Amino acid sequence: MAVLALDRVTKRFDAFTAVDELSFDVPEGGIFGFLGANGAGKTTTLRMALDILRPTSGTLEVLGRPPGQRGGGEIGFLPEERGLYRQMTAVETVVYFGRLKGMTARDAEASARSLLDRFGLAAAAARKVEQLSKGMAQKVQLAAALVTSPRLIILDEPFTGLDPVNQAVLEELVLERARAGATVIFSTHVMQHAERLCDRLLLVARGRKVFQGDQDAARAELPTRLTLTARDDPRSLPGVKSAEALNAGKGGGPRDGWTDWAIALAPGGDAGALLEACTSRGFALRRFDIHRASLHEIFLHLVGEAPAQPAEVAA
Amino acid sequence: MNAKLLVALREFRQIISTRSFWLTMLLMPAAILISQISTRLIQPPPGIAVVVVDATGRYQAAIQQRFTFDRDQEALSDLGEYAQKWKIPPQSLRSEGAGDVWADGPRLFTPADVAAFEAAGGLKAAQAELARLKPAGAPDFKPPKPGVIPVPPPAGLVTDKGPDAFGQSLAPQLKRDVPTPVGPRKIGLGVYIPADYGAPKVAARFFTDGTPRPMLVDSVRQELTAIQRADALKASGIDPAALARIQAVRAPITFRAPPEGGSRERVILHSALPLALAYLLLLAIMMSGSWMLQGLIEERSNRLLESVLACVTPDDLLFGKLIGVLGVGLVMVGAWMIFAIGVAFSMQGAIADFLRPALESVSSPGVIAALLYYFLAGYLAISILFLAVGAVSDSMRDAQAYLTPLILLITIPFVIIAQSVLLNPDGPLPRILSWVPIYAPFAMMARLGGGVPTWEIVGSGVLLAAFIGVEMVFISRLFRSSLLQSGQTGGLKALLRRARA
Repeated sequence: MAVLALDRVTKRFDAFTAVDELSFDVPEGGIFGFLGANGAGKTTTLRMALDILRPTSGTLEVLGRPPGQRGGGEIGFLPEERGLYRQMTAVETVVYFGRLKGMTARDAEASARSLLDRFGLAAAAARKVEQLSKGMAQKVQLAAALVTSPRLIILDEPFTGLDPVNQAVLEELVLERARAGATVIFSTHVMQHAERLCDRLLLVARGRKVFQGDQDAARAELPTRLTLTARDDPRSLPGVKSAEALNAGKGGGPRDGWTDWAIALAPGGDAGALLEACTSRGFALRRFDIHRASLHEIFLHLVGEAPAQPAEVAA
Repeated sequence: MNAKLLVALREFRQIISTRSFWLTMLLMPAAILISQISTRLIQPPPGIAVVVVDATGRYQAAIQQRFTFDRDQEALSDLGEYAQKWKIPPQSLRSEGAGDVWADGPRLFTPADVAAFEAAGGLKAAQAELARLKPAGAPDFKPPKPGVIPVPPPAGLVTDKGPDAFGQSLAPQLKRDVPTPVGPRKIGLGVYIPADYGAPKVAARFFTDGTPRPMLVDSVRQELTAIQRADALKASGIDPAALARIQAVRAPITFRAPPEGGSRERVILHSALPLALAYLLLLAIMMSGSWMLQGLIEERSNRLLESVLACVTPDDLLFGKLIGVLGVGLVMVGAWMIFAIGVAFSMQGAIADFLRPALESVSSPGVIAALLYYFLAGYLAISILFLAVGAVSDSMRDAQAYLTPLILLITIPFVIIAQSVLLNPDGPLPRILSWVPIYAPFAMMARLGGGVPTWEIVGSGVLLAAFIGVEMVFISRLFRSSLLQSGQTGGLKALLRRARA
């Protein structure tokens, strides 16, 4: 069953089209990465899934029903723009959001205390939000999103503003919730997080879907790149689209007759077949490295614009 | 608990946890207490001692009698006012005898009235009678404190060496208290009547402490004139008996009280409490509306609306806020009302005396129900406008652009309504404004004390309810379309477009 399904969804703000005929499904379980550059339509899409915004056209289903029929505690949401009631204490905040989602006061309190304890905030539970550090407040907000132990967790740019330690804590938590059976959808424009966490990906650009699938399928979108160290020119090998001598022109030339080559395979080319061809032809090799494309490269290839680097986000 | 109620409860708690809420809550009781205290502070001084030295021996007694008459006349007026205020039936007062003269209320009392009053036992008998007949809860009648207390010349005052010596010796005495039958008082006036008073160019000399007391001086002068005029008339051959008859003549006049409900004082009395309620409504809306606005803007600027909206619908948030702010308003106005009523029935003073009869004008269940409806509906109608401002403003600075005209739009007509109602509750302006939804609560509440036809209450009430319904639809759309947007709204056209979206 799809926990989130969009069918030709469009959202316009006056003349600006934020989401354009977007269709995709998120199957239950695992971690789903919703990737795109800033302004690609990620937040707008998630807001529509939560019925905070209504689509201009198209249909959405969340947990098998239209958004708006609140899933109560079944959906946990961490927005990109985070803020809390400054006069409330940490535990009051988490309890309040738990109760808004239909929990009883007692259950909400028990869950809130357990989560705050899990995040190392047990001692700060009675402190007002305005007295907490930014990192602590973000953990409180995360606790508020998770207080109901939701089936579907939607995290909008969850790593924004977190220091590396807390990013690691959050990554661990996301993995833990996914292992426990929850479906996690998180949007990000930082590919490294998605690369580490996501089972499946959706790439959007200018409100439109660019790619959907798993990481292997995404990599298949890029020509396989290899680095070879060989005596002979590899351009004649089958499946090689291009080859470039890496140490040529640096005054070095071949080292003892061996040259480093950057190889790009033709579309559909297989590194294993190339290795087999080298062996069968007696093509002398000292090095045969298959270069695994990063999501960043895939993103650049598919979308044509650079996503943010982690350093920019943590700054 | 229902999401709306949870939002309402949080809103309520947030507002009542602010300092400005408690300052505002204490504002009204403080104003009432200050007015009570200031009433006492600005009460007239307790009276002055008057020294009269009559070297002729002919005027002193008449002057003393005049002082007594003036005091009795004032007491009779106060007795009459008290009887009227507490609705003590004149028949029962007359049947007891002591109330014959003043039972019908204050009027111009003649020397014959004063004589009859004294003959019936005077002030003591009247007080005893009122104590028996006054309704439960009415305070005891307090007789007026004597304003003028004649005293004998104090020690050190030179009375036998002419007016100049009298004046010189009186000057230092004017700053000191002298003993009187009602306690120590300062000498406010000294009168010296020379032995040859009546001879040409001989004047009675008046010495004051610097405060002009024209009525007192005139009373003494009238007595001096009366005796000198009598002397002149006698000298011209008029029979003393005829003279006595002539001097007893008083030009007859009668007083007619304005018809029931028609006098300006009565209009003010009847309109006072409803008008005060309308004012409280205005005050409570302005305060709680701005608190709610600040809260909403804080939610927008703190970026926490998205988290909330992921849990509740914009309508839940909207109505929760309205319920919360309505609760704040009711608590605030309720506390003020309880305090005011407590003051009215437990304290003395100008405000308390005014509040007690004013409460009677809103004692009927119909009027109470109408007041309550207009209060709640008015609160809701105007709070929605504040919420709309909050929904489209990113900061209080942004909000000011809408808030200032909104406040002017509400308060200026309110001032006009208040003045018009006090002049004539049924005048054209209050009646017209009763049909303009955002002014109807104020206009109708202000008019209710003076009596409003049922059809007008129902019609204006239905129109107000319909207006609130339309407001709800628009604010709901505006709320959904504006809450997560930031930046300029793009003017009224853009606002209306959002509200229609």
